[in-house]
Amino acid sequence: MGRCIVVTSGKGGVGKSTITGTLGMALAEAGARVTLVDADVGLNNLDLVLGIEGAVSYDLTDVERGRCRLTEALVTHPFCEDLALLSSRALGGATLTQKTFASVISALRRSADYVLIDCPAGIDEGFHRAVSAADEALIVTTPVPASVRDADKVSDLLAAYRLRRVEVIVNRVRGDLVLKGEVLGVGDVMSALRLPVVGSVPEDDEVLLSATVGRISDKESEYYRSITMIASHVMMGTSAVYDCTARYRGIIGFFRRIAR
Amino acid sequence: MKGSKVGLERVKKVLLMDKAGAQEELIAVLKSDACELLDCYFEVDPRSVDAAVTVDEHGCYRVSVTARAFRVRGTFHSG
Repeated sequence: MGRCIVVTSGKGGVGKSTITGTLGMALAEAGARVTLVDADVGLNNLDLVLGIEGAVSYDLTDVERGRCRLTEALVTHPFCEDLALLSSRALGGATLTQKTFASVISALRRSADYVLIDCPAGIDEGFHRAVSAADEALIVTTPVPASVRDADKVSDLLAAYRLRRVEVIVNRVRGDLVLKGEVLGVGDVMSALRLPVVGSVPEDDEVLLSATVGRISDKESEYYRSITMIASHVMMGTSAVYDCTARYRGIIGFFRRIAR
Repeated sequence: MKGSKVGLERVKKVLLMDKAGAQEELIAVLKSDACELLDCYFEVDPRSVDAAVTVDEHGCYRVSVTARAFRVRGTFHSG
């Protein structure tokens, strides 16, 4: 049985779907069989993140209603055969129960090493449905007070599910501003949330460019490299976190800071 | 003061306020569970069970449960 990790945040717009898609790709590139599940029923975006929106014929709701088999609803990524997506584009998610969702996830875990669930924003029914099927959680936050506050509320709610692990990814870190002491750093977020931070992901124009054309970020980009480190943590438990300030240190870094 | 310090203080303060203000449901569940647990050892007056949760200056919870019992159930030996 594969591991099931829910990627959640509470607050919307923190980059959860992009991280889920890229982390899935990084895990698959490292040799794992990965299935991504878009649990944001009706407001799904993982297909867009992966650039396979045109290939989705069936979705989670079709599986629930018996219109297709689970294997028929899975879309394999064209450039990575170990990465598959179960989308949820239909707007009929209101009938999808926690029990049905959990049974779908359970079936997926039999043929995947990792099932990553992209949780909807907010803390209503969709959140609980997604979390109840998982045994680990990654909370994505950004280094701004509103996002950290929502992450804290989500972590309190997750406590009720007694998950094996609850860890934090800090997204959109501006290394130049962290060095100047103008914004919260990863250490600040960790001390506020009292949860382990296993990923620090830099603000990177590459994400915007990739999202626009519908592809996973370039493997040489800062963004992808930081996600690769999170994948290493997930697979092997490594504790190294990407240093978003590194490229702004030293003489070259000084000029980079001025240029921003 | 640097922006990061101001931000961190704001975050810690708001998290503290959130935790201190959202406890009614938690206390109800805590009281019920505590009553059930204590009832294994004491004949507890269920109406007397009280629970309180406060948050200290470090953001940690201080939990206290008080109850009145009429008698001890059975005999307990240490070791």
